Amino acid sequence: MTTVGAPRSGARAVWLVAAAAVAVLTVVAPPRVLSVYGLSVAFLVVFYVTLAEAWNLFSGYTGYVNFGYAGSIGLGSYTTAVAMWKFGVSWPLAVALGGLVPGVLSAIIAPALRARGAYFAIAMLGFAESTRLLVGSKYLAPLTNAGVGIPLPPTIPLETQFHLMAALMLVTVLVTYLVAGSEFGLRLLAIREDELACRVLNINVTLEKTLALVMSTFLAGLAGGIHGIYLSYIEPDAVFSANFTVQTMVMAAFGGLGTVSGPVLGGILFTLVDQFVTAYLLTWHFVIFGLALVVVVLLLPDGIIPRLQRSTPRLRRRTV
Amino acid sequence: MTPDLVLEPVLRGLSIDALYAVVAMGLSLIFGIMRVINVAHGEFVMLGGYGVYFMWTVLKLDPLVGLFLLFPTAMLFGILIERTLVEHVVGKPEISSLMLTFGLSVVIWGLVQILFGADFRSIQYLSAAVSILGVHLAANSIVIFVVSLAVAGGVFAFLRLTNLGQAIRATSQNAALAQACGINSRMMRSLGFGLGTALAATGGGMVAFSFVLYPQVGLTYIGKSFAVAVLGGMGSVPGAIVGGFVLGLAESFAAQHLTSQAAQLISYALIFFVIMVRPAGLFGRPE
Amino acid sequence: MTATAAGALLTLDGVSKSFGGLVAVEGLSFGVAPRSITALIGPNGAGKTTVFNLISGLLRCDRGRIVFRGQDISRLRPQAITRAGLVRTFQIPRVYARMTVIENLLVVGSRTRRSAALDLLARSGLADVAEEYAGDLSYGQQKILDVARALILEPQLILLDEPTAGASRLEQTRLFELLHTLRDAGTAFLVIEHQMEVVREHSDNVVVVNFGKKIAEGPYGVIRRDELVLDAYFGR
Repeated sequence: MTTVGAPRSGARAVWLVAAAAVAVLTVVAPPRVLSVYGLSVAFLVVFYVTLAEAWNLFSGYTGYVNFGYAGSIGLGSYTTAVAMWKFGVSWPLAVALGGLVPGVLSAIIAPALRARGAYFAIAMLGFAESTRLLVGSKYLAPLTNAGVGIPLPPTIPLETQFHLMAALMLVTVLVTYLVAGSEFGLRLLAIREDELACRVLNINVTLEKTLALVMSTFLAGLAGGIHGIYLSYIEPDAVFSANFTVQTMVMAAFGGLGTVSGPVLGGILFTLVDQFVTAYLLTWHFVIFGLALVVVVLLLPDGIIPRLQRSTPRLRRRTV
Repeated sequence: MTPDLVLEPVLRGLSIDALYAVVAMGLSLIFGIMRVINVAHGEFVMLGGYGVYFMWTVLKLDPLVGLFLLFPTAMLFGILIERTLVEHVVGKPEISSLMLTFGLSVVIWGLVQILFGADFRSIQYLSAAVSILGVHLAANSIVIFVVSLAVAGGVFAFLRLTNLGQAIRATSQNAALAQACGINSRMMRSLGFGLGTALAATGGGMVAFSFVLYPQVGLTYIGKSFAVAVLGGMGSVPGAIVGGFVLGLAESFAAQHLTSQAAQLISYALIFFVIMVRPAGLFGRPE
Repeated sequence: MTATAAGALLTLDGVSKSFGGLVAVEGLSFGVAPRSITALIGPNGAGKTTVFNLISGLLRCDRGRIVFRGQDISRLRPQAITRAGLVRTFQIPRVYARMTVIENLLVVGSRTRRSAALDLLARSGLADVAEEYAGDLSYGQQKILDVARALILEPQLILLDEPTAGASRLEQTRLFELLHTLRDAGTAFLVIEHQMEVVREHSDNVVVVNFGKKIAEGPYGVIRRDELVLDAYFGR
């Protein structure tokens, strides 16, 4: 992958050192300074930033709305949980499997699904809900314990869970950054802008789309797996909740689709506000969330970062 | 397979088929005219149900009278929502309309839950059993079947036979062309959305006396509506009627011969596989 | 010049296409020579854009063959045709609106160097707007960008659907200067064009269609005097 519009090498070295320092601090520092409550909030922040960025990696760049994202997250949680609970697989391997299963499924689905626009969105929703119902049904009960759910022994401390999720978040942001600066990333954006023009200009739309979806759902599955360990009790309605999909969409769209920093910003802001609202305004929690969605769509349809890029040409780098 | 095992699910299914068809017709109509997937459609069903419920408990109105009053009220409500909110996302990327209507749905059920609580509610209305062809059915299921057919038939005739209905269909097929022919496509979108809302609410009004209501009941109906609309071709009103019966029958058979879990699974699995085989729905035309 | 002239870069041989009962193109045969600018002209609704859609693989012919550099391309998918060295533009420019002008070029060629893209922009008169969003350009600039994006693939033949429509005088001149340079360097063009003075000044050969059939073919000076053309096209 060649990088488009890279900054000069001297400035680049400074940036790299700074970025590495921030990265290490993000993973290592919070468990040392935060209370248990604070750390679990921090865990949710890095969890949602990971989800928002990974969703953005496919949907933000290609414009295909993955409305069945919760399916990949839930599948990640269940794969990890089943591997640990049923087969006694060690947790690192179990989490890896959690990413692999939704990733491989996407590789099968994406080329088969030729639908666009609204049809693609609904088909993905159909896929996710089918998966949720199937996992909770008696047909898979020997494997999944059906609707009863799977208890996971709390052997992995919260600190470790945080380290894992924070590292995954950094990897996800880094992958998105690299994709954004590459020709692959440009081609994904081109698909979002005008798919017909892409077909005529020798861009293999199906291949690019499939690659992006596999990357996105693989990362979401890993996040789901770690989140499953965090929950310590897995049941279909909790880990396949359509709220994952919608919250993720809002975070990514609020920050800015098709940008690297937008979903990070949106993820941090929304998770923190959500924690506050849930704690202090419990009954009004959903109403406020719904209103926020409506307001974002009406007043900030492009998201914060693209809005800034419009007014400041200096920010118009793909890797912002 | 003995005749009973075929006849019973068919007859039992008919009323629910018709109800799905009415609700999905609304969803399909809205999609056709605005290219917007109305995720709040299930909440319009729920609101219709609460409307008929409170007209019965507070005003002592017969549910059928309630349904009659509900239709124009819901239509006005839909037009209001279209004008103030949904109109802004017409022609925008899918994510805008999905987020907006999802936000709307959360606000609606959230408010209903705060105002009326999360209790299950239902009306006992014509619940005595009658026997048809040896199958025992609740009398209200016959009412639902008849009312649904009347409403679906009425809306279908309106769209086919009246000038206004033709204008709505013209906008649905090609908004730019319709506008060039002097049709006010913005007004048609409002009308179409209002009509779609009224259809959802009517379906909900019938849910009030045949099933149960609770703030999040819309979730059940949005999934079914998607399946029916996809089966029939998004945007196709007659397709929604056919789709409603196909889905309803499939579910009845699954519930009778397999499990209720299988019945639930069917609608979502159908959505996925139908779109995979025919990217624009079973009877839909590619865009 | 005959339709199936030996040495033609692109040959259409008895190509037909109908939509339901409507015959859009019927038994159409003509050729495009290498290093030439061929104009495809005809009244509105004559089937010109359908011909482009057939050549570029967006539509399949009902009958007939389309041969490009000796290879039958009438059953190939759009990408394969592009890979073979034949690129098209659209009547309404299909630029990637929320990407910058330079990115519009970089996205297409998988080994495109930034310098090559900048050079092409300079030659197309778009160097000043290289970092602007393509959606913010004027209509005429978008049309030129659409053409430039086709050029970056360095194809042997480019189909241009009304490149001058909506472009300013200056933009038109600049565009055709570029086309002439490229033609002299070996590229061929098939251009749908409505403005007769553009056809007169810039085309080497003209194909006239009406009701989906070819009614004349030849240099501008010859077809200008053709009876059928006068009737159908110049509205005599």
